[in-house]
Amino acid sequence: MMPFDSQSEISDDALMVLFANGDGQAATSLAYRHTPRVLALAYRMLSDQAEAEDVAQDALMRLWKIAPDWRQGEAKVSTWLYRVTSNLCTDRLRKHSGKRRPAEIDSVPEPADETPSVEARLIGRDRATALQTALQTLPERQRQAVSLRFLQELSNPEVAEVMGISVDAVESLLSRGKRGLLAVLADDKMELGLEF
Amino acid sequence: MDAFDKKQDQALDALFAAAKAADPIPSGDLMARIMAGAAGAQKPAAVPIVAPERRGFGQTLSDVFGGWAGASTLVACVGLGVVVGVVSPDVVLSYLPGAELGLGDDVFGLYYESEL
Repeated sequence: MMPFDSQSEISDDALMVLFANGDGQAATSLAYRHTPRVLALAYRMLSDQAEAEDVAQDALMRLWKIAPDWRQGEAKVSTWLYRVTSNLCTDRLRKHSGKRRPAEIDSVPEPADETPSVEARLIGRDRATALQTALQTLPERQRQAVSLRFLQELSNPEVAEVMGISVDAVESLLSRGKRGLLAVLADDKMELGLEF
Repeated sequence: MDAFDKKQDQALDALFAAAKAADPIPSGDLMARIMAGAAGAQKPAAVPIVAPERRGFGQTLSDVFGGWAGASTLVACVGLGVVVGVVSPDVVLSYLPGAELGLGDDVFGLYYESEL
């Protein structure tokens, strides 16, 4: 449970100015607002919780450093963070090229929602694991586009901005990414309780 | 979109929903590391407190007269006034109200007496 964000009504741009002026509470608000999504994207890309945490820490550190030079209205903090996170993940993936392993059951975090039944939770966990494994089989750019669009819920233009490509290119990546996921998951659809 | 495409999209939606529910939650350790980074990168907010400077009598006097330039000008003006008053007191007395009533004699009487 995140602590109450007393500055939840303040825009990211304003928080950046406050942070640059030495307001410690602004740092807390920005961190609690953005770390979960940065961590989630890094985890989708890297499939490793510890590495994802390192990337999240690095991305936020870069945000703190750029705060004094932040230009209000030019870019959204979330978009900027997604771009930095994507680049950091790409760097790590290239460094570890060939050493990646598919997601293991134990590496997939427990679902945050505790209310569903045991059976529903198990199915949910199996599906999350299967998707994470399938994501790792996609080419890096497809994985990034699918993660940003369907898991981080960005719009196509926002994905295009983060990735530095056209909206048409995003749509192409998403289409190929979805086909790729379905192809990988086809053999397990019965176990996952899916029909397609 | 045909029925097959719709089923495929529904299947993917179910998978994405499961994945989102399993999104990792930032640990306390991660948040502590991030906040430590913020504290290290942040400039202090408070204006630095500067101890008041001890000022001597001469410095205070200088400040009252506007520094050495102001004090020098004041001294020069006073000196000029004294010189004018001594050399040609009539000029000074002509500007003093009541000079014709002999007030000037009372004021400068001592001087004239010493002259006599």
